[in-house]
Amino acid sequence: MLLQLRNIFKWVQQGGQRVFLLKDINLEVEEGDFVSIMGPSGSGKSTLLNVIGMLDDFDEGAYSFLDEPVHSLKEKQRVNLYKQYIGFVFQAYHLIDELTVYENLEMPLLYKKHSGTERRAMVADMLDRFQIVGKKDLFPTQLSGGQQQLVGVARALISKPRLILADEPTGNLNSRQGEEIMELFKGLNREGVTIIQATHSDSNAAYGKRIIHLLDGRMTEA
Amino acid sequence: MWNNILKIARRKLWKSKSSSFTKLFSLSIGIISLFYIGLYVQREFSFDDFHTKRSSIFKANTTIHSPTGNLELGLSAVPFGPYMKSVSPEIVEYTRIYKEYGNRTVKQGNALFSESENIYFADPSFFQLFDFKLISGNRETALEGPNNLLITQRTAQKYFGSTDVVGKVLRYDGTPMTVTGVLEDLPYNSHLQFDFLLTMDTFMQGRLDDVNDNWNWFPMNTYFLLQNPGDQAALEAHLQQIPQYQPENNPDDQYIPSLEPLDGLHFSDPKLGELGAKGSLSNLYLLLAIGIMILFLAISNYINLTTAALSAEARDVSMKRTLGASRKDIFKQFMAESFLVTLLSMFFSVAGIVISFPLFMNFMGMPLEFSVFSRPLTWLLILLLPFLLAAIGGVYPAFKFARIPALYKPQAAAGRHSILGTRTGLIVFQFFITSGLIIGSLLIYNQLNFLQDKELGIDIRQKLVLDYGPNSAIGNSYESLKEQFLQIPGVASATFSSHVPGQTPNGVSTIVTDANGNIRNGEISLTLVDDDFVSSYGLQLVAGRDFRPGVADSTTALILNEAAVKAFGYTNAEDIIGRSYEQWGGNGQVIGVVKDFNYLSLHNDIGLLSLKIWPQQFEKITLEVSEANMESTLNALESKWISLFPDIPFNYYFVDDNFLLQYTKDRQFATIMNLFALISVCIGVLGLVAYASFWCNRRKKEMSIKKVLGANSLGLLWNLYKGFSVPVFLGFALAIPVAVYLGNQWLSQFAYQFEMNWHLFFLPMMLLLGLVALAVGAQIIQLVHSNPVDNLKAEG
Repeated sequence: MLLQLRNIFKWVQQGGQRVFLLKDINLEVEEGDFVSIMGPSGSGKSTLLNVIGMLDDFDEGAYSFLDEPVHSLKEKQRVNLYKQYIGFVFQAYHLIDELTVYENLEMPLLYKKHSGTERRAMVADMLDRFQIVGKKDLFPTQLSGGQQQLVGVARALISKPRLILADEPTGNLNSRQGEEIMELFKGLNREGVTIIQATHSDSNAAYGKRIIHLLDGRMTEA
Repeated sequence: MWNNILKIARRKLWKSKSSSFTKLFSLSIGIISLFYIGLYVQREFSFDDFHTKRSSIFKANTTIHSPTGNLELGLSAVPFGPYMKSVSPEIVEYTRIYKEYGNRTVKQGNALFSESENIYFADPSFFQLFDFKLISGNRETALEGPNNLLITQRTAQKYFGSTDVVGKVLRYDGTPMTVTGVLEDLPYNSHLQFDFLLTMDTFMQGRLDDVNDNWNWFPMNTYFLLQNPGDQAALEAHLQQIPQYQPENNPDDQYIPSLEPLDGLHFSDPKLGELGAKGSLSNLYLLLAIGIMILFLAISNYINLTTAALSAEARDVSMKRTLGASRKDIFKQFMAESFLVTLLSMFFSVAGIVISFPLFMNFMGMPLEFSVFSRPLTWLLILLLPFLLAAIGGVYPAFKFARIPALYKPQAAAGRHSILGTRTGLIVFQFFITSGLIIGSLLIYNQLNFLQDKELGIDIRQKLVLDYGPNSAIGNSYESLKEQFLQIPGVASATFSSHVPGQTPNGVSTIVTDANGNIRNGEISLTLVDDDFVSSYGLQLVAGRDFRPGVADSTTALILNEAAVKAFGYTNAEDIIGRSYEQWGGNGQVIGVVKDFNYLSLHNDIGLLSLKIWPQQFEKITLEVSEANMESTLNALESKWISLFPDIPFNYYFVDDNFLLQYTKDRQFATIMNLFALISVCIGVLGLVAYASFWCNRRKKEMSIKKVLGANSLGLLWNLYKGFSVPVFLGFALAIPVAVYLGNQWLSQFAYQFEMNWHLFFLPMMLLLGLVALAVGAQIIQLVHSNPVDNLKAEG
C-alpha cells in the first residue's frame, strides 16, 4: 500500500462558520495505481492533491504514506518524504524563466545534493527520453505550451519518484498536446509509476484505472 | 549549487533592469559618499601625525581676564618660553614661532612678489620639536644667526627656478637674506603652514632691548617638548607661579597661561593668534552621520524593492519548495542575490571613486598621492563592505522569502491596507532623512544670504585696496600720496589705514582715565587710520568729532566705537569725550565716538574698536573707484604705482570680496550639504519611481476591474497619489523638529541669525510633494488610463 487516507477532514473558519474543504475522505492507493480525481470547480480536487502531496495539512483524520503516519511528522520530515518519493506536475508548468531547459531539469537534483557527474548523467537521460536534447539550452519563453509542460513532467520525473501528482496537467494545452501528455503518463504508469491526477476532462480521466468523484469536498458516486 | 544560484541571480538582475539600476545606483552613491566622508574624517584626524615626538609636544595659551571681557589667546609673551624652560625640569626644550601678518615684498633677480600669511620666524630649536624634512641645509644650524631663512621647495622654484639655493640671497622688504636651507613642501596635514622660515635672531633685530622683558605683549606661538606627556599637569602648576603674572603684580588684567597637547590642537576651541586652520569635531560627526544615513537610504531602497517583488517571487519559491528546497536553501539563494548586488555596487563604487578622485581631492585640498589605497585597512573595508551591506539589506527580505511555503496563498487583503503596506515605514524613514537634509540646506542658504546682504553699518562697496605692507616711509608721506591717487579719474576718495574691514585689527591694552582720576581699562582692538577713513567708509559719529587733517591729532586723538565706550563703563557716549587715555603708540584724549559697525564677519558680535592716526603703521590704501571704466582706472592705478614704487608689487583687492572670504568655510559646508541633499533626493525619488513602476505593473488587473465597475479616473488617480505622498509627508513632518533643533545648533555659531519662518518648511514640502507627483505621476496616469480590456484579457 502506497498511501492511505482515513476520515480526512479539512475546514476553514469563515465568520464563525466552518466551511469544509474536504469532508470525510477515505482513499487507498496501491503502487502502480492510476487514479483520476474528477469534480467541478471548487470541489476540492486541488486541495486533496495537496494534502496527498504533503504540501498542505488537514484538521482531522489519518494519513499514512508508505506506512509513515504523515500527520505526526514534523515539517522537515514531511519535506524529506515528498522530496524523495513524490513528483508534482502543475497546470501552469511553473518552470523557472531564468533557467534553461537543462537547468530547470537539473533543479530537483541540486536540492537532493547529487554530484555534478550524477546530475549530468541524469539530465542527459531525461533529455534523451523525452527527445528534447536539442532544446536543452533554450529558455522556457522560447518553448511552446506543450513543450513547457513536457519539461515540467520531465522535471517531476527526474529524481525517480514513486508517485506523480498532476493537477490539471493538460489545462493549458490544446487537444493534441494534451493527448501527448496523457499518453506519456500512461506509458509511465505501465513502467510502475503511481499517478494521481485531478482533472475536469472525461477523456483525460479515462486514461486512469479508476475515477474518484468529488463534490463540495466529499467523495460521491459518479 | 552556487553556480546555479549565481546564474539565476545574474539573470534576474538583468531582467528587472529599472529595479536593479535603482538598487545599484543607490548603493554605489551611498558607498562613494561614505568613502569621501571617511577620507575627509581621516584627513582631519591626521593633522600633525608625522611629528614623531608629538605626544610630548604641548602648546602654550594665555587667557586674559580684563574688565572689558576675557580673551583666549593662542599666544604667549616673548620671555615666557625661555623662562619656563629655566625653571621647569619637565621641559626638554621650547620653541617659539612668530607669524608675520601683512604683506612683505620678496625679490630675487626679476622675481618680485608680495607674500602674506606664509612667513614665520622660529627659534633654532624648531627642528628639535617638528619633523619637517630638509632637502638641503643643516637642521641644527639653519635657524641660527640674523638675516637667515629657510624656504620651501616651491618657493625656491618660484624665485630661483631651482632648489639648489643654499647660500643664495634674496631681498626681504629690501633687506638681503641668505637661504640656509630648503624644506620639502609641507604636508597638507600640518597645522604649521609657511613658505618662509626666518630665524628668531632676525626677528629680534631692530626690536627694542626690553622685548625680552615684556610680559604683557603676546606675539609668540610657544611650544614645549616635555620629558613625559604625563608631566603636563606638573608643568601647568609651574605656569601659575610666574611672578610677572601673579595677581598682586597685575591690578588691571589677569594673565593665565595654560597648556594643550599638540595631539588635539586641530579640534580645540579656536583662539586668537593661533597658527593653522582649525577643524570642528561636531561638523565631522554630522558629516559621518549624514554619510551613514545616505547609505541607509540606499539600503532602504534595496529592501523596499526586493520585498515588493515578493508575490512575483513567491511562485518560483513555492515551486522550488515542492522540488525539495529547504528554507535554508531559499534563504541562501536570496542572500546570494543580495550579495551579488552589493558586490556589483562595490565594483561600480570603486569605478566611480577612481573617476571622481581628482575632483574631490582638489575640493578637499588634499594631494592626489594620498595613500588611501596603500593602507591595508582600505582593502579590508573594500572586501568587507559588500558582505556587511548584503547582511543588513538582504537578511530581512531573504528571511521573508524563506518563509514562503510550498503552497503559496497570496494575501487576500491586497486592496485593504495602504498601497505601500509594510514598506511605508521605510519610505517614511527615507524621506525623514531627505527632508532633514533639504531643510538643512535651505537653512544654510538663507543664513549665508542673510550674512551677505546684511547692513554692516559701513560702506564697503567699490572699495579697492592697495596693500603695500609695513612701510613707514610710504606711511609718512600719505598726504601727498593721497593727492596723487585722487587725481586719477575714477577715484572718488582715498584713505590710508593699517587694516581694512574684514581683517582682524591689532589688540591693545588701553586705559581711560575719567574726571575723578578713576582708571578704566581693557583689551580692545585698534586700527590705525587717517583723517579720511571715517568719511570714506561712511561711518557715523554719535559724539565728539572726526580726526582733523594735520599733525595735531596724530597719535594723540582716539576715536572709539559705542561698544568700547560701554565696555569702559560709560552709559552716555558724550561722557567719554575729552577723557585721557593710555595706549600703545600714543597717549592723549578721546575725541569722538563712532556708531557700531561690523568690521569682522557676522560670526562675531561687534568687538571693541579704537581708531587712531599713526602713519608709520599704515599698510593699505583704500580707494573708492567708480564702476564705469573700471579697467582703465585699474591700468592708470597700476602705472602710477609702478612709477612710485617700482620695488613693491602692485597688489589690489576689493574690500567686499575680501570680507566675504570670511565665509568661505561656511560656503564649503553649504556646498557639501547641498550635495548630500541632492543625493538623498535622487535616491529617494529613484526608489519611489522604481517602486511605483513595480506596483503599477501588478495592479493593472485590479485597476481595470475598478474601471469596468465604473470608478472615476480622477478619483483613482488622487487615491493613488495620496497613497504615495502620505508617507513622504509624514517623513517630512517628523524631520521638522529635528531639523529645527540641529539648525539652531549650527546657527548658534553666528552672532547674527536670520529669522526662521514658515517659508523654510513650506518650500521644501511643496518641492517634495511635487517630486512625488513627478516620480509616480507618469506611471499612475498611464495605469489609470490603460484600457481594461488589455489588462483583463490575460486571465487564465
